[in-house]
Amino acid sequence: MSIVRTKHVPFELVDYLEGSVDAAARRRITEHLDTCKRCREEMETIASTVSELKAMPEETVPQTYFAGFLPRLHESLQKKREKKPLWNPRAVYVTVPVLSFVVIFFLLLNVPILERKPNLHESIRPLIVDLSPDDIAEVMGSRLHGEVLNETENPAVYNTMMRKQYNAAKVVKDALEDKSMSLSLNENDYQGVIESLNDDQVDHIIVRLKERTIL
Amino acid sequence: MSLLKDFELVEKFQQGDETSFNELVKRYQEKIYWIARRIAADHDAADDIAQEVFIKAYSALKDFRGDSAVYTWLYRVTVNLSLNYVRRKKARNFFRIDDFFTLESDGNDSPDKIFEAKEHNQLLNEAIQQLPEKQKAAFILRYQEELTYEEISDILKTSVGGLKANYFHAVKKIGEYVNRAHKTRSI
Repeated sequence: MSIVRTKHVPFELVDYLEGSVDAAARRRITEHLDTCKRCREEMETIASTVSELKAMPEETVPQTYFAGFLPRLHESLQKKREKKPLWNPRAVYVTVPVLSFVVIFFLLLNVPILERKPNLHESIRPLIVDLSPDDIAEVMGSRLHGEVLNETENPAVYNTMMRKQYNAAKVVKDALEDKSMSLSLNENDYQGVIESLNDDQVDHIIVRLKERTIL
Repeated sequence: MSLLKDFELVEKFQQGDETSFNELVKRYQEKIYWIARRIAADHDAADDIAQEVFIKAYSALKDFRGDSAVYTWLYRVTVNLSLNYVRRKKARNFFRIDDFFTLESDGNDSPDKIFEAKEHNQLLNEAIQQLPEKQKAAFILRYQEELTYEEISDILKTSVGGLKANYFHAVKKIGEYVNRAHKTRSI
């Protein structure tokens, strides 16, 4: 029994049978086939198929088909141009991520952690700037009781409202006179004092108003 | 006028010369058609695929950078579109070998001989159509289009070794299919 010393060649057999290998490869494959029964059997299995495939007649199409190919292609291209959408499909690659980013950004803005706290300073300052203590009392009362104060004809309700207005005014006045705020309230310069309030001082007034459930 | 190379035609097309695109189409239309035809086994489908390949090429060649040869790109698109077509057909359980083409004959064959040859040819075509996708593509590009393994490797993005194996198994399976069919028909 001969010993096979070279690599098996099944995957080169079709090319070998077709004659499409170079001289060196042909020699190598032939030498291998002389000593390898397994590869010889493989070759015998496919040999008839290769010759049958070789004998397959050429398929043809009418020459007019290829002659008309290019004009039909240009018709198709023209139709495609006419159907072209107003937007460029490639723009999707840019617009979709950008729009998604914008939407996510605004959604995040509404998430509680990013949500902007309502600024009480903004609502308190207009109440106290440009107002005298009596004005403040009136405004605070209006804020608390709104239309009720204006429309009530019941003396008891009216008195309650007025007391609350007074309390509100007193809280603001006390806060402004608080020593910790390093302010000395001068009745004659009340306007200037209110205008010079910083945010901490306004905070202080807010706390006091809340303690008295006026805010 | 000397024959321009593919990449030169692409460059001219990119500069706005439409006739260069026409030249590329004329150069490759038959190859593209026959690859599609052999994979899809249907003239109308092959025609649609060939048209689609060049419609895609019309857009894509404007940005073509020449990383690979033009024909490699065209053949790859053709093979992919053709295999997609076959998949869709299989999903619909519809398959036919059309009779659009005619077999070349020397004109002296008897009707029986012509019929026999046509039947055998049809059997071989059926066998080719039964091949798994990779083997089918490798067989058609190698055997019928006579491309080198290196060219096919670029087109199918498969190693040369893998292609050789696919090619061998394809031929083997065609033989087995034909033998089985002959046995069945002789019973």
